Amino acid sequence: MRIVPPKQRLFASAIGVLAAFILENWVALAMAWGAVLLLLCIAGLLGRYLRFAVAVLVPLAVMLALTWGLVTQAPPGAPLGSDREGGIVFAAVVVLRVAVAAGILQLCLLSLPSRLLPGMLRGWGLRGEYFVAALGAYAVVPEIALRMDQVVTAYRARGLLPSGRWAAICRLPRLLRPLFVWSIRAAVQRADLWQQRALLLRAERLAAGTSEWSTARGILAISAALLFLVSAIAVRCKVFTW
Amino acid sequence: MPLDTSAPDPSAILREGHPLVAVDGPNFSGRTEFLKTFCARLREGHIYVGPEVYNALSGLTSTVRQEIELHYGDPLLPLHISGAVRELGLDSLLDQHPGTISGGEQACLSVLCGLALLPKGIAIDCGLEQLDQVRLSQMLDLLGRNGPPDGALVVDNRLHEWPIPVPAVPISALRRGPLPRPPAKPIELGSLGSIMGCMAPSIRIDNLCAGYRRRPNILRQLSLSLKPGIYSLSGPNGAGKSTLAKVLSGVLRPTAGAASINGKVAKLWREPGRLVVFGLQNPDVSLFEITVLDELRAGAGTGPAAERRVAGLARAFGLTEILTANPLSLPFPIRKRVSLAATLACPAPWYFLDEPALGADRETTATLAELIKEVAAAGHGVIAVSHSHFFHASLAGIPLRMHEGRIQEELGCRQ
Amino acid sequence: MQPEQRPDPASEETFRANSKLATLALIPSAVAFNVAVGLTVHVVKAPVYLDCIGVIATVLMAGWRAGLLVGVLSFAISAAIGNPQVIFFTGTPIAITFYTYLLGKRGAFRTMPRTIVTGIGMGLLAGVISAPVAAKLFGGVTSAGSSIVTSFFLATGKSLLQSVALSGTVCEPIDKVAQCLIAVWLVRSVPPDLLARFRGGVLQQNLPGLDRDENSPA
Repeated sequence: MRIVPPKQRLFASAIGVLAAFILENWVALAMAWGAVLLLLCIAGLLGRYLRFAVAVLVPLAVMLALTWGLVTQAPPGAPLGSDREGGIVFAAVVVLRVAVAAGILQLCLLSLPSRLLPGMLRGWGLRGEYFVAALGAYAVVPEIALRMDQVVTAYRARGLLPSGRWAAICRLPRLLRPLFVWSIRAAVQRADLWQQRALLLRAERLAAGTSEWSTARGILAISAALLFLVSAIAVRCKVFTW
Repeated sequence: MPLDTSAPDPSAILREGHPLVAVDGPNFSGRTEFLKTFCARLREGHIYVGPEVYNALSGLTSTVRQEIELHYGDPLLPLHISGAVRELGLDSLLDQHPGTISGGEQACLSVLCGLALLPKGIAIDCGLEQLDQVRLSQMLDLLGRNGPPDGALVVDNRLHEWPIPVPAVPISALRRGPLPRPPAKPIELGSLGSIMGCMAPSIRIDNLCAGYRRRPNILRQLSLSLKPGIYSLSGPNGAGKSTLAKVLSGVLRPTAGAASINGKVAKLWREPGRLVVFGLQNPDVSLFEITVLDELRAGAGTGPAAERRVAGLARAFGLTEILTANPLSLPFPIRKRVSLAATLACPAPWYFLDEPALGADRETTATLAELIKEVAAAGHGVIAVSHSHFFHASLAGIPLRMHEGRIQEELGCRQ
Repeated sequence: MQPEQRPDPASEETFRANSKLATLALIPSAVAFNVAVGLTVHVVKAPVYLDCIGVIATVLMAGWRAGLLVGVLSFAISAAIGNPQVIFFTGTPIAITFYTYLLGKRGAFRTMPRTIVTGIGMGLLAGVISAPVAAKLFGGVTSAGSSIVTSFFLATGKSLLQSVALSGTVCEPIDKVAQCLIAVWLVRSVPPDLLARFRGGVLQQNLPGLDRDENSPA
């Protein structure tokens, strides 16, 4: 499998996100969103993106529509109640921008197999402690998610978690205590392990050069991002109109 | 810690050709300190694998494969190591996150990775207690055949159950001075009967299926009939024992099957922790309060009966002198004891206890078994999981064995 | 075999080296803790963020450098695995890191009233820092609770930026006070022998009851 190299991946994503926020035309943004959805589908990330869309984008869209379409009934800067349609269009533009930017970010960060993460971090210029911190942070998340699940299980399995939502929220700090102390204890014990086994030096070896980076794909990614940026500027400057 | 230089040197025994030497002794006798001091004395050489095996992995990798590669530096492993990976069952876990595999698998992985560093010796501190007998045999075989040149020094509370005899040096012969004072009083028997009275109902489950999103078929059409009493549940790692516990305690909703209580159909997930209270294996995820006393009170509730229960459990588990201590600052065996007492503080008819004697020495294991028998004698139902034959023999419960999501031997109730 | 001499465990250099390693190992743990809390808050639908508890706790234990890394990495990873929106608000944990450290040096978390006041100030700071991002990039809407307050201010004729800033100053202090209280409470729960492994923090100024031996070997 040939993969976009780290630096090109980062630059293309940054350019793409910038372009998304330059665009103010909802039709152009919708087209960009379609392209991003296609890329997510090719990368096998569409399911994950749609879960994000349901959890975040849909509520965001509803709140924006209510705020700008119902409460102010006008876009920012216009007198209240003067342009309901404009308010809804503004809401649509914001949601689509977030949708496009989020899709690009997920493509940048999640389309990579985990075995290539060390190489990607090194490709982004992270060295030494920063490399270890970033690598460790990503690696430990699934483990702590499991611990959190175990903590909640232990609490529920003793009949201690109440059924009401607010009562459960009030118990949240208690659930955090064993998780936090475990995190600290794990950090101290792992520090000893790293020292004993000289693992930090060995971790650098995980980032050894990979033959899976593809220069051609990198060029393609940057080119596509630049094309998107130029188009966004052109649309913004009304060179093209819908 | 002060070492007795006139005492038999474990490394001398190792050099005589024994690949493994044990340091034997009760809890809090200085075994861990001895292992650490011994490792530190030999600057280049000994790897120490501690009891909390989930923290004995690097925390820098996202898969088991990466963890092995991190230590070996090469995707191509030495032949004997790739063989060991297969024998220990780690080959089916290569793409899994190392932090999410079971404790026994983490112990195997940590030792295997430690061997990659070509240490002169390896010290394993209670790390092998979470292994089932099959994996334990394989690990001991690996250490015997392909261990480090100076051998392995081990501390293990289940040493006497090992499938191969291992020369042992008592800790009392290795250190000077009196043994350190244990952090808690000894367990007191005979006091639980009066505070834990119950008439536990019978539970029956038929054709139960349960699992998780990524592993949906952990329990496969499991049928089981439980009457009040003691059940000794055993089985290899990954057999589904914890999943069964979650279903019985109502934490996990089954995907198929039915449960009944005293013959009446019941939806256990509607009220988690009411009929069956589940005490998890790892005490560090089960201690929520700032003091030991609060921990006991959290489960017991309020009122004079609850206070009597708390006082009785504190006395029975030897916790009376540490009631104001932060449970998370106590040594592992005491944390386990507090967690067990807190589980029993919850006034439920049934208890599912996962490795209640983990980290306990032989004498304490036998005493804990007697304590659990008192709980059952008071009318409760108890299902106790353990890899220790000695614990099960002490408990004298009805044996149940799980394998691949089913009960292999269901012997019913002998009462 | 003659046992080799081991370095004096009580030597300052050894302790400092071990402390640095412990702090480095703390960063991933604290990041993962932050992310896990954020996910749990989302599951129980609590009307707060609680996304900087790990940052505050890290600053208290190990100083601003570690706290900064925890903050930036937490938001980066939350963006990668959960909600990519949060990456645009990375300025907030950076500001919170410096705020916590500077006020922590003056004992701002020493008592509950002081912690509450510190949390209010932190909330105002977070509201001001995040307002331009929320207004310019997200139309003033970042969560259900804050959007209701923002709508209220918009309806009174205030500009978008003003409304978001005012909404932030109303909602953020509640969240940040909760985070400060929880962070201090959590740090107090950590056994002293574990806390002693970290240096560079502001524990001495804020948790005077802790019995920490600065010279204890790791």
